[in-house]
Amino acid sequence: MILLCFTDLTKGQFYYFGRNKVQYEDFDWKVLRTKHFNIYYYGEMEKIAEIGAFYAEEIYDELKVKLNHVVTRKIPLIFYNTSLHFQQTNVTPGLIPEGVGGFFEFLKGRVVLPSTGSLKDFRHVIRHELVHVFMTNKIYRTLSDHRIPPDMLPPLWFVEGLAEFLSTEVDAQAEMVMRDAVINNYFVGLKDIFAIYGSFLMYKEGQSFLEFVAENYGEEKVLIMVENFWMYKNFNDLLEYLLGKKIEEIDNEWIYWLRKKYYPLFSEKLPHNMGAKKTTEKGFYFSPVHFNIDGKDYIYTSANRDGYSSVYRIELDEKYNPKGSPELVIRGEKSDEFESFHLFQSAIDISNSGLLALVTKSGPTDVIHFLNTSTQELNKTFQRDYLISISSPKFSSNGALITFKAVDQKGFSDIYVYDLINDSLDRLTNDYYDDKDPSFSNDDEIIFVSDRTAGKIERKYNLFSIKVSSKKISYLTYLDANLSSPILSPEKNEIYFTADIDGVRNIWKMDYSPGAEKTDTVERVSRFFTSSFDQRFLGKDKLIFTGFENFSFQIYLKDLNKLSQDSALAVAMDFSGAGGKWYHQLLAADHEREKLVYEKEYTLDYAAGVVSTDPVFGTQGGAILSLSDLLGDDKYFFLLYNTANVQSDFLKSFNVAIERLDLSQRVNYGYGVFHFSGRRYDIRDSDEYYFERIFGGFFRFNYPISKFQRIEAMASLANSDKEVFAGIKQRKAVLLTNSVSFVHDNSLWGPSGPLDGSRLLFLLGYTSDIKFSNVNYFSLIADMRYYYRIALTTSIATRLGFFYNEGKEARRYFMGGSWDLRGWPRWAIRGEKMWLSSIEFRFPLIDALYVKFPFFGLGFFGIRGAAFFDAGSAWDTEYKRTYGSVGGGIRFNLFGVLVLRYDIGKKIENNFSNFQPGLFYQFFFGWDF
Amino acid sequence: MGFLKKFLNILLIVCSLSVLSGCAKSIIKIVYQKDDNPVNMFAETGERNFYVPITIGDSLSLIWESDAHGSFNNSAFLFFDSTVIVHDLGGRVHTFNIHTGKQTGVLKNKGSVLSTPVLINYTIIIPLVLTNKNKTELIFYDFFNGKELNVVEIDGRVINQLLRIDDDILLITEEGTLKRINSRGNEKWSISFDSFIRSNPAYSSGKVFFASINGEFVCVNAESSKIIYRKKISSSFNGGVTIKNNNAFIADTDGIIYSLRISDGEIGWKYNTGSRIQINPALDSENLFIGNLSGEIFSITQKTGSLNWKEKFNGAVFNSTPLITDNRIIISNLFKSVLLINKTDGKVSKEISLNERVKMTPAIKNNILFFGYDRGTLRAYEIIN
Repeated sequence: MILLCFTDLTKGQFYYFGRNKVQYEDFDWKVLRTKHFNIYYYGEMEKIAEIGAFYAEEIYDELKVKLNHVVTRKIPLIFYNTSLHFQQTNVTPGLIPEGVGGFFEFLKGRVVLPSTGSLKDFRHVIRHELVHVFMTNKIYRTLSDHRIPPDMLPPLWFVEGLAEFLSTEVDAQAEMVMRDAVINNYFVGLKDIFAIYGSFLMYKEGQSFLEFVAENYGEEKVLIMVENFWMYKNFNDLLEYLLGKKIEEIDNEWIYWLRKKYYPLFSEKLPHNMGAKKTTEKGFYFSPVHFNIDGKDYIYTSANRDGYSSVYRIELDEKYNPKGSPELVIRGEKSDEFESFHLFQSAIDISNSGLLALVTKSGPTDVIHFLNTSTQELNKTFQRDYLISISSPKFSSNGALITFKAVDQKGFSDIYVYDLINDSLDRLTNDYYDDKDPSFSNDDEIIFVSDRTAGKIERKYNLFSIKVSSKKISYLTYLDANLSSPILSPEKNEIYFTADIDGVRNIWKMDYSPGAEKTDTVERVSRFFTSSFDQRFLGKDKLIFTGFENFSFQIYLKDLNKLSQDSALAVAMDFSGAGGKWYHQLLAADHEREKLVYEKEYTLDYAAGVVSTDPVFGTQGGAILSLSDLLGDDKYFFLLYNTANVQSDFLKSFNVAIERLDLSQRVNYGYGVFHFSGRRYDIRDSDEYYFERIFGGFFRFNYPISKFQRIEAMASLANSDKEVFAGIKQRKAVLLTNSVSFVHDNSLWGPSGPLDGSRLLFLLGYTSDIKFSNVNYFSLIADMRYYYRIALTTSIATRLGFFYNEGKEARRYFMGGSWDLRGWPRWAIRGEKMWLSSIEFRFPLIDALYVKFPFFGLGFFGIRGAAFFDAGSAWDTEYKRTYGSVGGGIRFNLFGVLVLRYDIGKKIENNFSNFQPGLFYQFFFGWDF
Repeated sequence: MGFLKKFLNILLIVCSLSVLSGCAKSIIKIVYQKDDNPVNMFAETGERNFYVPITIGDSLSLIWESDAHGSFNNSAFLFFDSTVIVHDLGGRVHTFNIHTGKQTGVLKNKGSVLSTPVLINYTIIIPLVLTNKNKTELIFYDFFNGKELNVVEIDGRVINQLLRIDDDILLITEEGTLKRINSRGNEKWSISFDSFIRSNPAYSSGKVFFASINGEFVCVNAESSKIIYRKKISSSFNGGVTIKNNNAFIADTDGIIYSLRISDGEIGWKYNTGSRIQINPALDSENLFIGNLSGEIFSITQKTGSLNWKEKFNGAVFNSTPLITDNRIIISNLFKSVLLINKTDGKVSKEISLNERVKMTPAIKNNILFFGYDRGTLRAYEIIN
């Protein structure tokens, strides 16, 4: 059982409930071996793998110079064709959130990343991760060289900041975040950077700090930070040494540098709330579209207001102010059908007839759902197996066609047109350029954004048009900037788009007339400090769009009749430099290269040895180790320990367990053998210590139906010899155990446990002694937990559990203590049958507590309160009494890994007839149920 | 008392004995004969030209391989009589017999030795950078009698190579303090520059030359400590200075090689290799040889700065100074090899592949080629002409 608990990796999250990481694909892995890399890819990705190999070798050559270091082992690079496939990786056991662009796994030095269809992003992520590889390898080698334990790394802000500093220039996104943080005063210096630990802001602040050092002290000082890391235990001491100043002075200089850079923007630019009207509060809103139903104006938007990404509808009054709260249209992230809305990547659209198109992940791929806004019912769903990732659908004017961007199995991002009436699909582009944000200008022409810009300006995202009939592509803009989200004005004589011409994404426009001469200027429409996204028309003279301000994405409305100063800027375009194509590069013909089929090579994941001395069990020693292949699909677990007290018992006192776990397909399965022998005490058994020798084998599997539901089954056969008193009370059995269970979990978690959704477990099991008939019982478990959200972070949690074992030598369930029946001694209530119910009110108590010590400060966040009522009972053959408790408590999440819990309350005693005198006080750890 | 407990007790005793033996006082005591031609500091001479006037063939025979159990940096060997002396980043200095590879002594200290020690008569002077402190101990050790003579603690970390000037040493700390110290450990003078210095200084005609990470080239009178000039030449220097006649040669972090007039620091010529250089240029009578971190090696005419040839070695990284003989360039490639290159055309005449990083400048003594690579392994090859 130790082994089973230890190795239960078939689920995305650990223990009992948890969501599933569903591997829909059966990846046929191949290897491209180059001078410094082993590149793992599959299916039709060969081209992307070859391009990635070139990037990787090119970046290796750059980083070896920059960091004066070589990585002598071959670096494993694991490529997936899309983010959706990347989320299925077994290299890391947990679920991968949607925004993760790639990761470097420190234990085995593996780099895992998807192609998103953009070679620029692909190269950036490879570079970012390879900076991690070089930096960690260099630090490891440097510390080892100096005979210092190589278990230290610089702080995360530096690790991520350096990766960004060496892999990209400050782009519109970084600029947006830093401008916003400085102007809205939520920027934190190095001294307090723990307050934003792990956040995107921390990444960007790290990058900004290194830019500051490079500009003011020279780039060499940044590189020496890595070189001299071995010299100090505290990284701030190293900074003070290299820059010759105290951390406070460095912080002051940095913030002064940032303010000097950003404060002058006040003279020319506006915050969103001054340049436009804010129409939403609380939550994050994306991709607003306007629609008029029966004379009423509505904005449909994808948003995250409560932790789940969903689609909402906002009714507007005659002055376009929101009337009431947004109304939920489709709840996302709770069901298989709407598993995930890609808030940052996709957009929604609505046809003139009121058909809403939205993209969600559903099963193995993205799909486009078509929702009738009048009936609020789904009319149709579009899905193709070979189109894995889909984004930003846009209807034609008559609503019969829809165009969108999709990433296919090759990892290419292209433009498609789908005919809703004839159910036919037309692929308009098919190459490695990143084509996105398509929009109909007429039924035979689509305008879109692409990085196919070539000539004097290369690889920038400009506007292009493509004829649906001829597939002929033409430039619409030729700017040294990145453009996105083009839409046509209602009169179809102007194109509105966003562009990072002035550092962040603002709204711009250009005249447009199909077939006429190209317009040679673009005009500014907005001049905000920070970025705007997904602008759409509301009527003929208003734009609605998402704006980023004060670390929040909200919907703004801008009146185009009040542009005066905003539109005072125009930028000219010179198309004479445009022309030709840029080509991706591949490794030179003489470069070391070999293509192979992937063969598993196993390396150590984890190993630990322990020796313990116990007054009851004596001295025992053992070890646990696990091995897996490079892709993490195939794992082996070994457990070995010995409980011998005298030499003659040595051989028969070996406890051994071996399990193999296969995660390479959708059905995860494991099997193994075990031999346990020794004195033990089992809380689910009798109250006596006993000696048991048990050996056998087991098989189990786990079939994830979706991210939220799975079926688990297990079978084991074991020979058990049990001796409660040597030679007096013995029991022999050959135990056959089978169980099957259904698990559901779509819960949303707060700092101390679930806040919303539900979790269910139903299990049916049977255990019998097939030889001596000494054991024979069946098991039934029904554990249901529902969470009802009252406000954003306040909810009522309920639990009802029924646990039933019936038969000969049935094992006991147990409860009592902070995790279930509070107030009662931990695990003190035991029985073959058990029921338990709880209701708990969970609410925020203290959002942040900051303790300022003389030399440093310490922040505590998300301290929560709870009021609870528990009831339950356990019995063997005859129901005896009901236990209960009522009370309240506080929960405190320590660094995201451990919740400390303190409860005060009263037990309900004497078969639920009276409260205990006084109060109970209970301190323990663990997540809320 | 269980069986495992007995086993654990035995294990504990064995481990304790191992630790105690590891803490034992270390010693170097060399029985030597007079050596008229010792290699007594990094590159042997103050000018640091890395030139050995011999002709060598490509036939090399491995004589021995020994392990110092400590990692080397981009530094060099010392030789005295039949002993090769090498330091490691774990703070130790080792001696090996150059013919047999047998370790004859080791000095263990807590810290790191990043610069080649200096030999003055019977004394070896070791700059030991202390762990977690911005300090360096200069250890004066009598290797004839095997005893420590003196320890002088100085502020700052000595990571640049030391210079021997007569019976004094000259050192520069990373934070930019230049000091002259005599063989008894007394400071003669000290001067601070407001700049980090990660460049090996060179000495010629009573003057010391070095460069800073701010791109300045500095000349100081070695007797009076007076700054003769301090000129901004480049964006940043990390490589060392090499002197020949009236010119100093140095390369910067952009990969530009400069020939500077030592009298006034004026640029005679410059040549851009296109990639970062960390090392000293090596010189023979007419040409300059240098490698960069992109794996290219250049031969340039010293007088004019004109390129004789350049060769790119795919995957290579050159971050230690080459050794020049009359017919070969011998250079360590960080990416696991040592190359013997034809001086006239840059073609590889021999490559010794290894399985680890090679960081030290190769050395030749008594017709034996020495180099050291990662984790403290030394190799000696007999040169068969």
